[in-house]
Amino acid sequence: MPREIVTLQIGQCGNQIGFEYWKQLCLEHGIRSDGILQEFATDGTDRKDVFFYQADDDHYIPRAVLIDLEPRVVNSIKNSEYANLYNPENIYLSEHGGGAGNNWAAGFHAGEKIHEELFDIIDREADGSDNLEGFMLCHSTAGGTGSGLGSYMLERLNDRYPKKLIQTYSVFPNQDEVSDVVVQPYNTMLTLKRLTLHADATVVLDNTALNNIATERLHIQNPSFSQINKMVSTIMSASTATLRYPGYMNNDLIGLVASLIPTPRLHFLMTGYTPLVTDQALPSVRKTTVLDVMRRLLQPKNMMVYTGRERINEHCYISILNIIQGEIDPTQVHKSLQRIRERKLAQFIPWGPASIQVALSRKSPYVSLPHRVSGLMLANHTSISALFARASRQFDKLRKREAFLEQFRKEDMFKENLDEMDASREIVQQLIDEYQAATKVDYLTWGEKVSGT
Amino acid sequence: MSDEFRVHHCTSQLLNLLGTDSSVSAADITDHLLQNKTPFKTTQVNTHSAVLHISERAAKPQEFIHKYEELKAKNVRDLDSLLFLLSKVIEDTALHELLTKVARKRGDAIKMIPQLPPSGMGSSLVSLPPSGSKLSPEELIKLRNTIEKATQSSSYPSVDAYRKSLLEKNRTRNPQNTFPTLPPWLHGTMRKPNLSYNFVIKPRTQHLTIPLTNISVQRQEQNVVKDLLAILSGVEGHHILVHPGEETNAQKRFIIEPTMDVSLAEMSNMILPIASSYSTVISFIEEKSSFEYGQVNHALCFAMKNIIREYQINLAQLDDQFRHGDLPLQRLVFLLQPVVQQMDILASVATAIDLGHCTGGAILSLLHNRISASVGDKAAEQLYVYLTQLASIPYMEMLEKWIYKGETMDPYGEFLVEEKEKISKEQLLEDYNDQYWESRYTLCRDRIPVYLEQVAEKILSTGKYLNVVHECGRTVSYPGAREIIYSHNRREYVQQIEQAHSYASKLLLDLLMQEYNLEARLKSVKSYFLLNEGDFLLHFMDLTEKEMRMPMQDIIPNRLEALLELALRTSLADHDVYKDDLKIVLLNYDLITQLVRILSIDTVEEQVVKSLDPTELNLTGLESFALDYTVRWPLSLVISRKSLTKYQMLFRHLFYCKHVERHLSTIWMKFKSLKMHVLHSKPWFLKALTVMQKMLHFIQNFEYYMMFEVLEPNWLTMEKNLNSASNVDDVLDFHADFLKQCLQDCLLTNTELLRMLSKLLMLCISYANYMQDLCRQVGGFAVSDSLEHSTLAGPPTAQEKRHESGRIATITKETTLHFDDLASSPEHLGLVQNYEVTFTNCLMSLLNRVAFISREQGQHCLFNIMHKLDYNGFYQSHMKDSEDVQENDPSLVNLIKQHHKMPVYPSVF
Repeated sequence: MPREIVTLQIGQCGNQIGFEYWKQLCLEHGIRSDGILQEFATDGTDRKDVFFYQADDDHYIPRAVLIDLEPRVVNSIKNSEYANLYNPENIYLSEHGGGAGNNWAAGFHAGEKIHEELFDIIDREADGSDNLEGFMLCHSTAGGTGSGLGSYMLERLNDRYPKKLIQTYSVFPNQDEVSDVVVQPYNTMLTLKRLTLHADATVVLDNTALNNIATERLHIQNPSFSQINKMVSTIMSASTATLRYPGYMNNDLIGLVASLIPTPRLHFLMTGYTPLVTDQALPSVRKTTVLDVMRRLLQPKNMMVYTGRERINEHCYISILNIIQGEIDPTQVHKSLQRIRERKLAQFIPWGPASIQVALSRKSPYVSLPHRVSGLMLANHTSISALFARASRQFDKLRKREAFLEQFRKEDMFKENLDEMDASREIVQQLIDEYQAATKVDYLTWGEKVSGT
Repeated sequence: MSDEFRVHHCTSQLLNLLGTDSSVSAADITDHLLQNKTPFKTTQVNTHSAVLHISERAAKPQEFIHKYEELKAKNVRDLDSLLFLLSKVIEDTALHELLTKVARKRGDAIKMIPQLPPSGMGSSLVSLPPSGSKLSPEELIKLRNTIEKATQSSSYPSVDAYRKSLLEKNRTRNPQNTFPTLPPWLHGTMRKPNLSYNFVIKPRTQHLTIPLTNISVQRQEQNVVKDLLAILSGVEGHHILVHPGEETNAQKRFIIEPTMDVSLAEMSNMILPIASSYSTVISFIEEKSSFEYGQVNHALCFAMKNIIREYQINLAQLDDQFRHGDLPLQRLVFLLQPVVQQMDILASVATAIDLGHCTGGAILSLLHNRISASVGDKAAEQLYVYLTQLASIPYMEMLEKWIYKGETMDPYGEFLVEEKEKISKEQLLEDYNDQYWESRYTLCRDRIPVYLEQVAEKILSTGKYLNVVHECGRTVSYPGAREIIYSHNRREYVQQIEQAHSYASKLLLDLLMQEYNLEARLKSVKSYFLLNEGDFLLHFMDLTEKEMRMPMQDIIPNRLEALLELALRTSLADHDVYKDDLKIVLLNYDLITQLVRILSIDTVEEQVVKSLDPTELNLTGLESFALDYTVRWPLSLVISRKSLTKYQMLFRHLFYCKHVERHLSTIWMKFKSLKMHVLHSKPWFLKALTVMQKMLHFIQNFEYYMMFEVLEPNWLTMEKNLNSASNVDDVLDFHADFLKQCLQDCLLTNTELLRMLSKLLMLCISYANYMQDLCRQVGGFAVSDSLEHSTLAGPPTAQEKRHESGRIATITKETTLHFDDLASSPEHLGLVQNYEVTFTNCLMSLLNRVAFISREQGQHCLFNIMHKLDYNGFYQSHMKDSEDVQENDPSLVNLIKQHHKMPVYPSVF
């Protein structure tokens, strides 16, 4: 009776990430691209049934639902060598094939039309598992399908499965460059509201930071999508490592997530991963002691969220979970924690106990990495509000000018007014304020002051 | 530990006796002694020089030496060390004076000088009193007489009485195995007096010697020689008679006809010692040949008999010569010269053994020492070696059997290893102690021959190991088995024993490690009891949620077993080949009670705890549940009931912590939908959530501490140690150390910490229950029956779905209303605050206590708890704020009472 997790991949970006993620999982569990378990992995000591189900004795099928409104990415998956990995019934492509045109509203309304078909698939997956623990949703907040349809699915899922965990891996657009999607700020804002209200834990993947890391840390000029996605899939597979390689602790999703999120709204998690390597580059990190890994994880430049300089000032960690993989002596971990504590490398909230929690996990025996130890950090850090603030600023700029709103007004939701936009903006502002408040000692009584004034 | 106590006790006694002032404490001396303890064995000191030394200074050296010999003959342990000490005392004049002074003081006080600490035997009795005694001479004589009488009577009990005691001893030792009895005419009161080679003494028909007054010297000589030849073979002569009135086994004295020619009489006197020795030897042989004296005695008798036979042949030849008329007395004396010494030696051995009531190892010790003492005297040495070699044969055979086969064959209780058959290996699975391994075979200190003393422990463990291999149904054949032969100088047998020992330890170790896969076994035990494979436990907890909530009496064990089986099959544990050995038990006491009971033994609280009636407790499945494991011989040696119980305690502790974590997580899940609301306008609710977060933080970090900072490092250490272990005793020690360390660092061995901990856990549970209650009051924010769970009814229809979404909308609306109501209620604010304060106080007092203990007792591992639970210094800063931390907050008791009676397990989904 495993605690199964169903993965939903929505939109172009979601499917691309998902594709890389399943590729990684197959590698780690010794499953061939057609879903057949390889000879050498038949008596492995890993749990495949959290993410896969068994069709035959040695045939594994991912518990994944692939959803897109336009066929390009899904077709490329269908044409890849992993075509036979997925259950074809779990792939949903819009009949029109037109896509959402990078419009949140279009994606959201497409959802209203097709949700019954989608939920047929999801219900079937849910029924197929003994003890479903929750959903993992991969999408981006910029485009139309991932953000719009993703938002819709979040709302529905929450109604339909109120007792299941919903974790999202949300890719935020690169805010440094001028995007080809001009309505991106609108899309992001509207999606952020759903993420705030309907997701239980959101792993924020900031394209800005991912690009920076790729260029600065990995020395790749003009990083490609697949390289970025590779990094994302590494993070996703590492964050689920303790579920797939069970040990003493953190063997269910709730155990990972619950302690990270003290109050329900502060559920946006940053990630960091070290050591990162690419296929071309030589390993840039040679020394990999546990202390090294844990210290590196605390450095802002290794964070997959770009938060500007604000992070150094008054912001602090609400909670940290480090998932360390490899053959590790637990006493090393203890020593490293002591060092970090002595040198005050991490600033914690003043209003409650907080610590660097550590989950030790085994590594896949079938993937050989040049490093003995690798680590993933899942952190709840108040500086994430900087990301939202940035998104808000961009949103405000457009909103003030009422620019590019024609496409939105076409859909029902925005026909009469743009209240939904402003409501979203307000929710996000609340979120920013709450994160700001969490840096202060009086966070717990902060609400009284706000409501009092 | 016990060693330390013993040393301490002795030191304080000694200090007390010496009447020292309080400037020196016994504890200091004990520490000093223990620190300076070396493996050096005091038995190796040169006793010979010590004896000389003492006897030189002693007032009555004869008495001292006599006493020494006597004690030595009894194979008294530590005699040599004592002698060494005494000689040192004599050398050190200051010490000597001090002791004398003390002795005088004490002598004044109770007039019992021989009780002085370093006395205990002859030397002080002899040397100390004259040096400073105020006793009057009469008193001294009286005292000595009483003492002598006492020692006399103790050293010469009648032979019959001794034999009876031997028989008695054997009967108690080994009731079903009785000795064959000798016919009554050979022994005891009914014995036929003439069935003996010894002098037959009939006191009533005592006749006088025939006077030789009228006979010439030549005739006299002939008569005397004839008489002597008779006497030498144990028959009374005409002119030389046995001194009447002697006891049967005392040394014989002879009466020589006073009218005998003086020269003849003198020459006779030179020969007569042989006769008296002969008599002693013969009576020894005849006595000790009976069954109960043991094989070593038999073997020694055999050796003596051989010599006696030679002697008798010798006599026969002499008699022949005499009949041919060419044996003048002078010649006889000349020819018998070598025999005098020989017989003397035999007699002295016989007397010594008689005096010391030696059997078995003691005899061999005695003979061995005799060999050492007779350096230079070739003839004597050869004789002793001959005796020793023959006498040691049965003992060595027993030894061979033991160290080559692991069997004991010791009907007379002589061998140094004693077997207690009552202790069977099945008890390993039932008894809560290590009795089997510790007490089934034990060393019997006073049965060890001196020359085996150093290797005695090795001998014991060799046989023990082989015995285990035996019990596994395997035949042991040691390829290097050779006969063990005693030799005085060449220590070949030591080498042989060592070889056998290393063979046996390797054999058993290999058997356990390779064949029975001890390491894999332990790993399997670890994965279940120490939750190393978390998914198994997770599944099991998911499956048995309902059962765990039920009262213990209502649980159907079979169902639980089936669920366990299911959890095993569906988790990673399926790969474990030993998974079928896992079982479930429901115990009728919860962990805290069990531990407090164990810990309260020998404390003031014992009575209080005992008075608690166990039936009053209404245990739920959760509290009474524990895992069990089937262990088979010989692994039960390592994983005995005792260690399994320790594993069980650890498991229950971890299990309960996991349960608390799970419970809190469930509540977290219920409240996750709160994010729809603007929480910061409902401040106490925020507070409520952060209190829960604090608890979650505590429990997760505490679990982490136990698992990764206690269990795992200790496990790794043990694993490393096991690989380097060279024998099974090491393995047992490492395993026991591992468990001990784990229990200690998981706070299970300190009642105080344990209480605080259980208080904290209870607080967590009751708070979770409270929150759950809150949830119910709000009514539906957790939609109770949604479609997702009715999987059995098939997928929901479209209509149902539509209906459902409508329902959800109304529920959400209602909930919001309820929630707003609730959030503004001040009653809850108070309660939550109360919980927070209590929890914080509790946790802080735990941290305080832990800090104190780790400082005071140097248990550094405990200090890690501090770092783990208070990483960002949150509680530490609190501690400075509020110094007055009340430990027994009455509110705590109320809180727990209020909410603990609810089902411990919430309905999760």
